Amino acid sequence: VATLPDHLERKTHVELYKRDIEPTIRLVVVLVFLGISAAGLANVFGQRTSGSSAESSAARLELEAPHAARGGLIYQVHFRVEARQAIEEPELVLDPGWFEGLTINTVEPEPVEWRHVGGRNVLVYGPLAAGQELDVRLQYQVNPTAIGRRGQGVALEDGPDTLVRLAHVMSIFP
Amino acid sequence: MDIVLRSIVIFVFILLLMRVLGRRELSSLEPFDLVILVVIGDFVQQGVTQQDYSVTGAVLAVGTLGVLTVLVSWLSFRFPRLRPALEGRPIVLLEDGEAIEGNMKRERITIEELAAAARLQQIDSLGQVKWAVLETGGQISFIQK
Repeated sequence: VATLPDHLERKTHVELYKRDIEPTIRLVVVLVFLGISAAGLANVFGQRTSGSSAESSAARLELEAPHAARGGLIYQVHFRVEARQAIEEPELVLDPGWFEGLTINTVEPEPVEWRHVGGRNVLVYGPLAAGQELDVRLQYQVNPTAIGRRGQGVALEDGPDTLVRLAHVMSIFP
Repeated sequence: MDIVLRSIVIFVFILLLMRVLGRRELSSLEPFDLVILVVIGDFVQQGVTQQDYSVTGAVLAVGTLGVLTVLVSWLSFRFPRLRPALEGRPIVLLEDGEAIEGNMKRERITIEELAAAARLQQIDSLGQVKWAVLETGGQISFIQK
């Protein structure tokens, strides 16, 4: 048997005694990376939008928005209001979570009035007749320092009356 | 503060990635591997600095990576028990001209690759080799009979 070079031992470096765990650890880490990539493909880390809706006898409110996003991403939120009866003063009332750590680049169409009531933002639009629709799109960008979950509820109100309310939660990954 | 935290996360991620990629992939640096490494660098830069174009941001990010590199090196030097985890350990691939199949398979190295590495060191036959050792840096060292 040839003599091994200095600092090498037969058990450790040739027979790899007690080193069976090393390939297993490597495999586990690779599987973790694979899991992260698979979760990314499955939209766990966000940006892709999904739709939800709520309705009442007065109106239907549809929301298309991502449930998750990451720092720096740009995305669009789409509110669609379908009036089932005349709405004198349609107001989209947005929870604070729609604004915390997020930059709004544009709101289309611009509201007639933008109010702040009890920490919530109220976007006021012109009257809607029964059967009329209102599409509102907001272009967002996530601030790099914004991390965590936030409630993004939205309500459609007509003056003091809440016509319909929709819950939405968004997670922001670093 | 965030840029320092992001740098730490990315450093640990790259350390893990480099440890699981396999030593041969890191040391051989075929053209494809080189392109992938450059692309990784580009992705990492965006993740760490994001919209920060300031000199301060660059100093924080690069400084943090530098400090962590020295820290890992110091930990490896100071605590020998950590060395296998941080740097790995050499593996003998060939003894007295005979390849050790299990060790070759474990590191995904073929006999042709071993022979090519030997030729790069002006060794025309593996039969002349007493020991071939895959070092922690990914290079294969040959000790002739």
